[in-house]
Amino acid sequence: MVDAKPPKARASRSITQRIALWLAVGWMGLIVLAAALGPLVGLQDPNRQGECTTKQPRSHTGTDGRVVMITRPGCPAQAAADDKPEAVPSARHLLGNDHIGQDLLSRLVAGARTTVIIAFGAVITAVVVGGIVGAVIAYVGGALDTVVTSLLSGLLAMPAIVMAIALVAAFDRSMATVWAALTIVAIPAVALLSRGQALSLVRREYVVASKMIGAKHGRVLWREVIPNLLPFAFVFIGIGIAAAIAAEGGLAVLGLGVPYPAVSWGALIAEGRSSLRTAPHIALIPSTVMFLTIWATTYLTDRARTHFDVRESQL
Amino acid sequence: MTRAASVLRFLASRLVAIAAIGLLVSFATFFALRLSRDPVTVVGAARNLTITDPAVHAKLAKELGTDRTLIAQYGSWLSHAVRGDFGYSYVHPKEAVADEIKKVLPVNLELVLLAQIIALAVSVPLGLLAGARAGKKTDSVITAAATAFMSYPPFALAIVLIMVFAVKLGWFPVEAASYVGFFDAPAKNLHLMFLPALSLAIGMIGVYTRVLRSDVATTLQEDFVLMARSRGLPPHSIMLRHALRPSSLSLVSIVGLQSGLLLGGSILVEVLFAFPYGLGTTLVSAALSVDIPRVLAVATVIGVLFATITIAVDVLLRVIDPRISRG
Repeated sequence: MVDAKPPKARASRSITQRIALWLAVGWMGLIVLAAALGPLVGLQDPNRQGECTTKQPRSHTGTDGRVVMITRPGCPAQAAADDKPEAVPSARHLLGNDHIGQDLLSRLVAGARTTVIIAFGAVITAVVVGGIVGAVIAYVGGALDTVVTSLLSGLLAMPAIVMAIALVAAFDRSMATVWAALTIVAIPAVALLSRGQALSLVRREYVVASKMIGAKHGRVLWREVIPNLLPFAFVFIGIGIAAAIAAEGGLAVLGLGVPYPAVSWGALIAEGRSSLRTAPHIALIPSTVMFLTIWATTYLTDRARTHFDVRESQL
Repeated sequence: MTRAASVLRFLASRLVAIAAIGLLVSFATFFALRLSRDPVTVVGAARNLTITDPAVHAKLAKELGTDRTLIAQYGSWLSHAVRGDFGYSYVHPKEAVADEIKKVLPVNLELVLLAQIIALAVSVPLGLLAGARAGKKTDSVITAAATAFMSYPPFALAIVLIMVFAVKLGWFPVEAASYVGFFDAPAKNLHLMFLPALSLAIGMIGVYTRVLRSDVATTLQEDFVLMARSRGLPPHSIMLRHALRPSSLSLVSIVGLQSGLLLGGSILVEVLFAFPYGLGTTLVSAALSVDIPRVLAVATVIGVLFATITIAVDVLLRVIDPRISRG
């Protein structure tokens, strides 16, 4: 055989899959860049309206309860039209304006930072903590394993969103609270998965051999068991990030997301709900961005799973 | 042991397991809530009483029964709960918690059932097709679509569905605020419930299709399928009569798990479609106001239903593949 590549590797080189892979990598790169460099790009302040929008001095609310805006004198007609609330995309505002005239693109970029910090942060914390808990209970075994496992299974039966809501509501609303709530909600699932994987590892010859040459328990765990859990950790980080982005959005829709002045994608979608009739793009654009990000994460996770040969049934 | 006796023994052991889970969930919830908050402060605040006055505090504690030991209180709660009496809400003292649950539960049961029917009706044909054509163009298209379905967050999807089918096209009501039970007005009820159920179903369609596809693709490599093929059976008969059953085990497990999680986890859909009431909404509002009897009742009901579904799935898996019970 000239071509020694296994069939799986050859199949993965189909042209559409390559395009999809680069799309996913490119999109995630864009989101991470936006999160990291957002404030440096020089977009409009996400929490300010355009220069040519101003609130009418007298309280003038329309029949539908929205504040009616007037244009500031001295603005060109085109700029004034582009700066209006609910304006459609234009050269001045590439993605249009939200319901009170804030630039959607700059709000999306600001939201990327919130989402990346919360989703990546919460999931990585959960994977580290849950992974170690799972590995330790599998390694120690006995009563500790039984007690912790049943406790974790019980926690898993409670709807995650309800637990997250209760946790966020119990403390002050802040980015740290949302981060902590999502971490705590994810830990039982991660710990149980890690335990399941670690159980199959602790009986392997190399682990037994390491114990037999007199290695301390900590060393066996750290050098033999935990490194072999890493492929699962990567796959779980991918799945978890997709779930955390959606969960943060859900909390924001219920009004329990990150507080002002932070902006999140979920909050943008929630704000767009009031303009579904007149300006559907306000809800649609952030929904699409969130969808693409979750899709890219899921796709990359799938590819990583094939690469590490982690089967769906093991998760 | 005869087969009938072993089946009976199995069912009895599962009923005990359901009871044990109900006990465990209620016990854990009770102590977590009671250790974090004194009911007297909650009820005192709801009734505008000055509980700093020891006499008022003692009187209220006696009325609520919190002057007894925690174990005695849990025992008395449990003895009422098994007879379907969950006490009265701390915040709305006129409402019997059991009545509220009786009113709310049908909404969520129907929502879960409808969502599962929609999800399975779409994903089973798609999963079979993709599995049968594994590695081919049809498979990549279906798998890509399934991944996309999975990636749309249900709450964002609910908003998009409302926008398209309710606001723009006007085919469905924007809100479910005028909810009526299925048995009171079936047509109106289904009209109201379709979009909420669909927004829950679409993500599950993605998951179910992928799971079934992967299992069907594996099953089709088995010798008995080759045997069926060599006997000249038509492909649809091989798929439906030979391949579907052994490939449906993971699917059945996941449907069960999702149904359990959806019971209390559909709060976003309840809120976005403005349902007048729902299990998730009740649980969250009760948790936020530390309304201990309501939290306890909803958590216990969800726990018991979750356990019942898990066990029903377990039974179903044994029916699908009798090898499981032989261990």
